[in-house]
Amino acid sequence: MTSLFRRAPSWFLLGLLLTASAARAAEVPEQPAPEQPAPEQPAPERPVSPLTSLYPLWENTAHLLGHQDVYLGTSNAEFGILDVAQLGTHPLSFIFRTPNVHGKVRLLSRERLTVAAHAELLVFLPGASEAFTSSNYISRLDTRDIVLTVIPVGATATYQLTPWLTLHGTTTVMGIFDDGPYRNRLVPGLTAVAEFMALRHHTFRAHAGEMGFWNHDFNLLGASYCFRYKWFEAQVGYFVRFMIEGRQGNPMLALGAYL
Amino acid sequence: MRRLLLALVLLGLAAPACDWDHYAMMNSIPAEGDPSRNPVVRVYLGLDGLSHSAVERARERGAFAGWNLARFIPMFPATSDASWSRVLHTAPFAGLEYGHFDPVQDRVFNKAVGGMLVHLVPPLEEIPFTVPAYAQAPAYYKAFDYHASSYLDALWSYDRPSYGFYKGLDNLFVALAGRSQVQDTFSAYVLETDVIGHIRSEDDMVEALVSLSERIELFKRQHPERTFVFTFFGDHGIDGVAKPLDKVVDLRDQLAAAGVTSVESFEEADKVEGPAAIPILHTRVTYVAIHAREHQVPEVARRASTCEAADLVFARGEPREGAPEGLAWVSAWREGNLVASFGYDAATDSYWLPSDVDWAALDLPVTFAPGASSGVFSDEALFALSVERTYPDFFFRARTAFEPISVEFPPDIVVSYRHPFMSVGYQAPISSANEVGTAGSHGAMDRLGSIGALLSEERELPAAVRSDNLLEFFPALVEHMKRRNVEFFPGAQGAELDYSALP
Repeated sequence: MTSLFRRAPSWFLLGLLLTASAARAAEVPEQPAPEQPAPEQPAPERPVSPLTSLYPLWENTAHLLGHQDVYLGTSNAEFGILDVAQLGTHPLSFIFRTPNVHGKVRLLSRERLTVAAHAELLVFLPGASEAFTSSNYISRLDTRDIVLTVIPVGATATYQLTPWLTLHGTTTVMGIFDDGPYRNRLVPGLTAVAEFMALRHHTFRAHAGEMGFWNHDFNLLGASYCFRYKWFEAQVGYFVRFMIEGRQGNPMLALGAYL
Repeated sequence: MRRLLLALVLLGLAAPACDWDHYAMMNSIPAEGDPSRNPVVRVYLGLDGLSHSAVERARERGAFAGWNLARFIPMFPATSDASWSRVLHTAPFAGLEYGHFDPVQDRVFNKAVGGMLVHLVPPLEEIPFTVPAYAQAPAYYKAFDYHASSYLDALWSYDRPSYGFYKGLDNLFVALAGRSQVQDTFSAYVLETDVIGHIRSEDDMVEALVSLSERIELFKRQHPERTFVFTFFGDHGIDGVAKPLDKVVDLRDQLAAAGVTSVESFEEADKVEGPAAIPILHTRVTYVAIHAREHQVPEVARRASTCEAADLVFARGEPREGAPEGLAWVSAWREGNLVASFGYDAATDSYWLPSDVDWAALDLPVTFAPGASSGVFSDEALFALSVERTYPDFFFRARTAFEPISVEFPPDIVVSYRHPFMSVGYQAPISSANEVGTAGSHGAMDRLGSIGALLSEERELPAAVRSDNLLEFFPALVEHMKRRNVEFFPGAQGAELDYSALP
């Protein structure tokens, strides 16, 4: 699957997703929002854990879209396949010279526990590190003259501890590939998200992570909030990366629609 | 379909936040380079308002031990955007500051407190539409790998400068650690040192510098796989003179008392009986730039020099009798009198000085041959005799204040304030906001706010360096700027100095 998408033009994939979502929206105007397996409770009466992670690369959830369901958002565009898999991309990253595609497959589904495996392919084209709309932001990577390929592969377990608390644990191995000047390497990482679902349309999450372990790179701490009403979802959060050289604060915002 | 349209609208609304996603992504990939490819990394830090005196005090506390230090003499009037553009030979800024007069359009841009808001507009180089020219970020930002860490950095930095400084250092060192994986040169700009000098005190500036020195040593210990060689440079000094509120003045009031009408265009000036001028007030600095019709320049300058706030007033001058032809003339006025005038010969890069001027009154030890009515002096000679005096590099700085070097529309007259006066710049609607930024300032010709610092581990330095010459000293920085696609612009004619010929 990955090789198929590696050969396909990235914009074509994005267009395909958008087209599919438009067609889906036209055909099934009142499609219910995707949710965790809980058929005994009507969807609007309970908070729903977001489909995607807010923080990129290292975080995820084990939730999947239903067959042919579409999620279209600023951070993610996702397409459900056969109720067991999901294919997606970060649409805005294309603007930042970073074609990408990712997929997720359900491995296990129990009453409270869901496990999914996921993989992502990102290609940072020359200039991606300087492609911010504002130079007030800087990348610690320098890809001005190189193509850098990054492939995070991992698994996420989502466990509903109580009706109001869900935990998402993600383990990832990130492959970084370049002909030089960067070294090829694999970096492990582990993140955990505690999601408090106390209110009907609102969830609050605490995020933590360790990237690098024995070759420590950074720790991640964050807090985020998700608002979900029918097909609309908004996530906002603030994350801090703790490196040995200092801290970096990073606000995040993601808007999306389940079509 | 409605949902899809709404989704696309929302996507558009979220566009300002899209940098955040990319920022998170690009800074969460632990890529590593091979230290054998770049075992030495040169680091150039432009620290806004890096004053020589603060650096000396920091060194007394053990900071920057073993580094080479030079007095770094900026342009006149030394104000950040124009000065950085001049130091780095980047595209000229429209005026000395965002608030400026465009004589072609006959209009003042970025006036009053509203004009201050353009400082908060982040640079948006990659957006598909163009920010109005008067609000665009200066071109020199492009010379730096790092210059800020969020959209509204400027706002936070002015609100809490010390916090902003340490937050900025965190981001700077993270960027340095990442970029040095593959780069052999790294450049960064730090705004907050200037803000600390304006809002806090020199003591706080010294603390910040000592802390920066410690951070550098810590960083070197954390990254022993490479050798990091640092160089700092500033765009001006900070006078460290606290300004009593009654000395924070609107020059327009004093000009009115001196019989000069303040206007906002030449068209308006032409309708006024008597002298009229366009003073530019923007930030809290110790100079005011003035534009005036050419025939009114001498009279406006003379009258402006009678203002209580004025120390010296500079303007283009009239040729002196007996002087060679073809010289560019500069006049200096004080208390209603023409106290100095001199001519510059571009062909020989020398200055023609009359001996009937009381140069000693300006603390300039110019000596003439016995009986001579004038003398011709080399740029090096005048640099050497003035650099340690009250008005460092007086002749070159006064001359080039009126040339379009780093400024597209240079002023016709510059009022250099005396201590402890300061230009009020903007008038905030909240009175307490008008007390902000009065702890120190810069811009005047005198040494307190003029002498910046050049500090380097990379190479030995002369005792004093003209800021126009920085790039001559650091070719690796020039190469780095070229790799960053910085467009270079010619500097001032005759700016080069033969440092080997200086005492």
